[in-house]
Amino acid sequence: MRRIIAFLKEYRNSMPGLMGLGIMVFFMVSAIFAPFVAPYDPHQMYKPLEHPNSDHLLGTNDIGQDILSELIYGSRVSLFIAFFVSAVSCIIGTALGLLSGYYERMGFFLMRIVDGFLAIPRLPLIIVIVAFLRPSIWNLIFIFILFGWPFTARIIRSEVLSLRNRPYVDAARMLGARDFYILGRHILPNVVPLIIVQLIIEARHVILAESGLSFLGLGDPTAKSWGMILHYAFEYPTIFISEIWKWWMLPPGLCITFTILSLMFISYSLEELINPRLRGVTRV
Amino acid sequence: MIEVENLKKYFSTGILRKRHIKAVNGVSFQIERGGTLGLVGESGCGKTTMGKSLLRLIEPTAGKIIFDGIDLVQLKKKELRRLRPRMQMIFQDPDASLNPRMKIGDSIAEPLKLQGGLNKVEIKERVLELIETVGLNPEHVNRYPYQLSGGQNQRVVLARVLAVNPDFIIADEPTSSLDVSVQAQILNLMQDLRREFHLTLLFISHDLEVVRHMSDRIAVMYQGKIVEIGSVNEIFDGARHPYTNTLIAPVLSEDQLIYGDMKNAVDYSSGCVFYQRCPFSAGMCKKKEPEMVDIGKGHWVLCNRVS
Repeated sequence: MRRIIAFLKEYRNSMPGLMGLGIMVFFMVSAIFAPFVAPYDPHQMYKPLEHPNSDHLLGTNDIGQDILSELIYGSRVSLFIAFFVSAVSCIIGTALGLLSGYYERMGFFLMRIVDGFLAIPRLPLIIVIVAFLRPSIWNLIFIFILFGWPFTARIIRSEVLSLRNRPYVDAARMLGARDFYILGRHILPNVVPLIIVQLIIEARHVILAESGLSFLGLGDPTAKSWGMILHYAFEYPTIFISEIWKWWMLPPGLCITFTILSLMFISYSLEELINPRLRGVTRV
Repeated sequence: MIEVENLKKYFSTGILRKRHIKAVNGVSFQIERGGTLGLVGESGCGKTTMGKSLLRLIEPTAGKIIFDGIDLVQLKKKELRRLRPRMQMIFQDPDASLNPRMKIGDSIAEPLKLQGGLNKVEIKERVLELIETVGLNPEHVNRYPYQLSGGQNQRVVLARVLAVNPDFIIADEPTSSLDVSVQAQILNLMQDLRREFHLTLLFISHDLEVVRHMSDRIAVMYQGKIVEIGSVNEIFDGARHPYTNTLIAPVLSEDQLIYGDMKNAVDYSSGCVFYQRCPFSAGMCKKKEPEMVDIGKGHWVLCNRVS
């Protein structure tokens, strides 16, 4: 507990980290309390293509849905996918990383599979697979997890390889501890910082990938994510001729940008804190 | 108590052309119950590898390790795990021997929890008892290893080792990363504990004076082989191996100097391990591999000149 407080105190010194955290909290709150924050139901239709006015702060889209409400509900979908995927793929990656770092033979085979995943460029392959599967949120989630865990597994494994030869691990072995006890008690706690950073990096990646896929029309057409809003806006014939892109396209784009930015800030300042070698070198 | 017969540990390197590094190359010795064997040798000669192989923290390539009548090499993983608490190891770096995320008290309580049979209150009492035995304050229980000095951490390690009531302890340079003043404290503490708990000890060090202070028998290791073994007096007053002589001589005379380092000597295939650096090496030493010769009073030498 004292370590956590000390950690937070040090985190407070990092300006980008605090900014990132602030932006993230803002989006999280609006996602969780969407029904209270959003002025309208995002599926309800009003007069189409209204310019921003006091009733509709960001106007309405081509079928008359309130864009601000769409954005707020969209943060729900985008953030849910991001954090769900990164949580699950980090759990899988951590488990396999621990095992393959600790058991040499198993690690050898697992790492060849990981090599395969890492050698394939992720996004193009995901596009191809999603194009063949029916686009739905759960299909997207499944594919992101499928391609997400190998990175975590590789990173955790390399750390475990160095941790398992520490004298305190040998000492625990001499005290008669079982392998799983050693993994859980002596190795896992020492890779937790890595997992946290990996969690954020993965979330960042998923938000970008999901927006990209939705924009290309490969997202779930029934879910209102930021990427889907962009997609429908882009499909509207005169989007760039008139002024409407300013309140239809720009806001979801900015939302995505700021979310990514905040996650980057958070992960950079965490990494700086966790890895003492970087301390003071990259401080902005 | 413990009897080692022809213990070997080879590491292989290279994928296409396999090369073996013979870290431990046919070592035999025994330690009686309550005895202390000091193991000396320059760094890289295989001392630590041998210590770890004895406990199967590194799997030995060949040989027998008979502990209290049981051959450890033949044991299955499960049986080994049950037997292990009777043997313990103290490592060179006390700070790295303790999990940085565990409080001192939890580290000492760990073996008690693993063995079972005690409830929370009893464990707490036993931890305080152990902490007192090794000369620490009860208030240290809630500290983390990084808050203590190296010497204090080594005391914690000793307390954790004692918690399982071991019969046999391997101490791998337990004081080499400590200040000289602290070294003496830890060594004296170890001596006291050894007497109090009737421990059998294998004391590994490169410091001859320390070994002399701690042990009743000394083994000198070179290039994965024990070149001379005998009682402290025999080794210090009647060393027969040229390598031992250079180690213990306070001032070396011209003909005792040895040159080169062990890297020059990695690729010997036949003959004496010490051939290239030996000031007395004769033609036969290049071809003839010496055998251990008993020259009386349990004093053994591995040298062609002794027979």
